[in-house]
Amino acid sequence: MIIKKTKYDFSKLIFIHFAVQKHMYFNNAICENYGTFYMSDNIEDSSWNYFVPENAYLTLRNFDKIYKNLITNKSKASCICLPNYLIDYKYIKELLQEEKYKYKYESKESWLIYDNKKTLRQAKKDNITIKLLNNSKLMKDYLNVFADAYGGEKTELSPYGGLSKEYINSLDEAYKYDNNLAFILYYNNKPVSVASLCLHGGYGGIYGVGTKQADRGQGFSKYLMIYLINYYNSHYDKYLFLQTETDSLVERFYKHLGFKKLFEMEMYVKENFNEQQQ
Amino acid sequence: MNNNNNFFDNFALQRKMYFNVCRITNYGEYYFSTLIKDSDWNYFIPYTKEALLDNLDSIEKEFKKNNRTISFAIPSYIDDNEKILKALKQKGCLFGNKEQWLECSKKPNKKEMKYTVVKTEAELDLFKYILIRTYSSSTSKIQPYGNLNEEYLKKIENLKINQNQTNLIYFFNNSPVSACTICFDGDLSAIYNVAILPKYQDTDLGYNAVLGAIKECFKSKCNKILIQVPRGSFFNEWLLKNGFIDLFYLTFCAKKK
Repeated sequence: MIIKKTKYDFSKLIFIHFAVQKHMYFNNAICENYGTFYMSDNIEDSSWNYFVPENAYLTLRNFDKIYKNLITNKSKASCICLPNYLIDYKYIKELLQEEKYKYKYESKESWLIYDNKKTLRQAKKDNITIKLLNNSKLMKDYLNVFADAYGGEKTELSPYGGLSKEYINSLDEAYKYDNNLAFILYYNNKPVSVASLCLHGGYGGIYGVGTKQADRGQGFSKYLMIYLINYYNSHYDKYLFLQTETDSLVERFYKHLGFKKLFEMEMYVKENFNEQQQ
Repeated sequence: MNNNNNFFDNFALQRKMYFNVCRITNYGEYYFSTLIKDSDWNYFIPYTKEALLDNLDSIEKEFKKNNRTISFAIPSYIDDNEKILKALKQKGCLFGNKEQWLECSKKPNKKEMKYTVVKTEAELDLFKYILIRTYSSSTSKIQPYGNLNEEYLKKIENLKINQNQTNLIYFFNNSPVSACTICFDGDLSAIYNVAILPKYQDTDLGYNAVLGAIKECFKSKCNKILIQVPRGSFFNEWLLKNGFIDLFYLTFCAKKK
């Protein structure tokens, strides 16, 4: 169930998603009156190089321009994300599948927010410590857990599957900035879980939540998420947001914690894009 | 890093007005406008002196790619600010204006002010008239922005009533005197397009539109109001007397075409 549009400005939320990650994954934004191109110099894939329409009819009218812009950038995936809050987005969907453009549906992402100000009760667990990443030793621990958590095959518990080296390299730079906070959970002095909180203008984006494959199923991610929510609520007064694969186990996990779904975004990627480049 | 956030905030607030392209790198930030070609809206802000000098080729390439003349905005808080400017001068870059960034977090005391928030098409037409009349006239001590080119004026003609922007008109004795725009984004706001009709440019009466804008910002629960003005100008002095504080300034520097 998607909650109705009320006080939340959806397109602004996508822009904040860019803003909080401008030193991590994204680094280019081109805002037009029909929509915004979000691109990354560091990561080539469609998750970090796409166009999001803001107005369906203006997008339809300017589609050749948009298409040309995406295709010209040959080294990046040509991807269009269609948020379902957009009125008449189905017309763009039809256009994308036309012979001339040949975009193929790839995946669907849910955008969730957490705007409850109540402090969540933390379960009692012994031998757990949570540290904020602030030196190179901790960075090593962080990357170690992150690479393990996101390095495996695509599974139900890990819907994003194996991430490329580009991701891990771009993280190295990211935590030099004050607005990117990374947390590491240690169990018996061993790093097992990680999560990041990226801030812009008081809004908080949660990214990179993961637990080492061998340590899953013991509630470490939940413990870390509750810690992160309480940390955010004690320092900031807007809301937290995150994105995850629609209908995945992970989405259910976040909903169970109290996150609400705002909207869904369908990703369309140009068919045979890689072959065309060669 | 907080000062860098100011630049990005300024971009975010204006992404539907003047700026619309932003590119963040590990050596600095590019801000471009596809709408206005001049160096006031197309520039590179370096993080450090080394970051700038080591990456001059990439910066030049990026400007070429975007079909713009290479232009820099050097923040006053960067170490070796003077050395950077000297190095750029040697590379044939000419100095432009200095832009002071100020912030306000205090409500103005002045009570009796008559200003209108633009809500109707007729009010919007009056607002556009004030801006176009002011910006196409010559500059004065009170109104440092004038003689603007057609690109700006065209942009003003296309202004629409927008939920993220509030336009104000200030009246004195029932006659319109001045206007300005406030852009909102959560608890942050910024004041742009301050325009005082030439007839009123011999007094600082027109700046009351700015006081009206500050009042509107506080009504919307903004706790930070940004404004940029020419450094050392009469307007700069006036803002300092009316609750604003200096943050830093940018020195613009562009290569001759």
